[in-house]
Amino acid sequence: MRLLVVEDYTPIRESIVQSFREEGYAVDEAADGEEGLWLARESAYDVIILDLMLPNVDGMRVLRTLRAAGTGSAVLILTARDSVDARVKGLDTGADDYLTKPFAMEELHSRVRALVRRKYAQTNPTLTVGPLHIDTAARSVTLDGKTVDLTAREYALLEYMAHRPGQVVTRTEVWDHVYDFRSDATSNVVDVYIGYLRKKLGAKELIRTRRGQGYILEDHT
Amino acid sequence: MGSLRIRLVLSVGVAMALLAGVMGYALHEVVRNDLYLQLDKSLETRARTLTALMEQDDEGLYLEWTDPEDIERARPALPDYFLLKTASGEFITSSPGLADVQHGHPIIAEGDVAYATLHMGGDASLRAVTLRFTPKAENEEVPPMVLDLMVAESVTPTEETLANVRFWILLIGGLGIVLGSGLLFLIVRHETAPLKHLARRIQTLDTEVPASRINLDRAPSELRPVVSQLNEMLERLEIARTREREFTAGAAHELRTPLAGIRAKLELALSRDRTTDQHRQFAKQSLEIAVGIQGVVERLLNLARLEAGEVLGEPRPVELQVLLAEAWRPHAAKAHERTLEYAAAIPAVARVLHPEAVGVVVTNLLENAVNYADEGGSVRLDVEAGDSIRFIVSNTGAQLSNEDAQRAMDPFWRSDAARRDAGVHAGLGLTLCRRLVEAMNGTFTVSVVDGRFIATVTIPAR
Repeated sequence: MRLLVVEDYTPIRESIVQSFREEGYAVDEAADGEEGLWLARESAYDVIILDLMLPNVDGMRVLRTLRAAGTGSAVLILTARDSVDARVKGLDTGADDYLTKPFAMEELHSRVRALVRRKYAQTNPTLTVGPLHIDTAARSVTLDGKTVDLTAREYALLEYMAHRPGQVVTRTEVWDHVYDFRSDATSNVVDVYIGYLRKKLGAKELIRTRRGQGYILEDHT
Repeated sequence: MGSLRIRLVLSVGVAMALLAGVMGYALHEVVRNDLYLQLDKSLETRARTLTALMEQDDEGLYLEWTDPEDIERARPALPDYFLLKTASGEFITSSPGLADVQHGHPIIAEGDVAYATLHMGGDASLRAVTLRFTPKAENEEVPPMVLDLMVAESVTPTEETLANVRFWILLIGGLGIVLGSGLLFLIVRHETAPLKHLARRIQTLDTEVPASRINLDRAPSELRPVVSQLNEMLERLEIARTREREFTAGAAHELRTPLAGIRAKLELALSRDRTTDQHRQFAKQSLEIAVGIQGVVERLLNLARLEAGEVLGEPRPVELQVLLAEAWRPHAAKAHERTLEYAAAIPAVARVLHPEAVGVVVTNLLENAVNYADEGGSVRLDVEAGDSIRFIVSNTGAQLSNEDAQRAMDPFWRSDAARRDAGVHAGLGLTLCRRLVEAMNGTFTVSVVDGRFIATVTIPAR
């Protein structure tokens, strides 16, 4: 899953970015509204964490501009403003969730997961594809009841594909949602990680290659 | 007594009763005097009539009645009594009712009358008129006699009339007082209704609701000053509360951001196993934020102290150059880091009266200047001493418009550009400076000229 964090206060931004990266998310960051807006329009983020009081372009204006442009990213407003008015205004402008500072990092993670589920029309936090179970809250994977050890990046790739079971996922989509601008890898790295995943998931052939199109995660039995 | 209404009713009621009593008594006396006057006149007339029935001849006094009882019984319901004596007091004749009466002999001139009330024992009293006269003589040879004729009548009918009059006076007076009191109560209640209304309005006034005011339209003119004072107080209260609320909200907001920063850092640190170096890094970052929070809290406390009036302490003159060197010291490192050029022009002899306050103001202004000057720019401190002392702190690279610079003195206001250091600078510095300067009877202005932010503080030198 790919996130954008737009927050001008460095300690908060750094912490959020690091925390989500450690969980395997691809995270980009912006310290002001202008940069945030530019990034949000360049890439397909699953969730944008947006502060309201931002230099250059105010958070509300960022949100309005994004919604006017039809950007599909879920937006979570993260702000020190806690009045009901501010929340209503934020949500009515097109935000999907609202969290006030100070916040618990765990809650932010949980809300982001909920937004991701909603984006991919999932209601159950456990994704199931045949014998494969992915607990998105615990970020753990079991295959036939046995735990599969995955790195954060492998997990992110598998979760992204599991949100769209039976659908062709292109390399570019994987690239867009699993890797952030910081990654120095090329798109070949997608093939490499798919290879790792296949190995760890055993010979069940849950992931198939559709030549010239992409990959499908599917239970073929 | 607590109730204005009861006091009014009681005092007016007592006054009414007193007045009614005095008037009733006066009326009674007038009637009584009149009745007795009439009785006396009638007795005198009867006495004079009786004298016509007496004649003096050679044999002595001749009375034209045979039995004195006839006269007494002429009106059985109200007998006329009479007593005839010589002027020297010798008894001649009397009606049976007065035969035994011992009566002092009045000293009067001939033709005159004397009045007296005779107590007959028991409750009975008689009103008596004594007339001194000379009966008509048959011929001129008869030596004239001087006689005293007393005619008396019972006062019982008169006293009964008076008792009747008293009864009616008391009845009418009492009824008047009762009805008057009732009426008075109604009037007082009606006329004090605006007071009660006002009291209830004040009691039920919800000062939490903004713009709660007492309606002036129906208040009588005596209450208007009270009501308008109350309304003014309410307005002041509301302004103060709004300001307080805004300030508290601003303060909470300013503290939340760095708190969120610390919390995020610490939660991140604890979220998984970390190396000692990583922990050290998190601790260092958290400490930096904590120091920033401390600065915000200190400024808030300073502002609160200013509001509470405990400001400047005892005036004591201090060498300005020493003071201002101290004010610069905390910012020198950052200025160096940002390659800022610092220049100060401070007169050697100048002194200030409130060194703590001046120190806080100047160090805040210098901190702002160092933070917001452009990289490689310059910060200046100029001091001009005279009757008043002027401190001018300026920096290059101002990104504010002149209008924004004015707003920068509002609590918690920050421009976009100034928000780089959110959580470290709460936007309280300039507010604090302005309040401190005002407390020293000085003036504080800010302006932006050619990209230079200029803060000017002028305070009296003595």
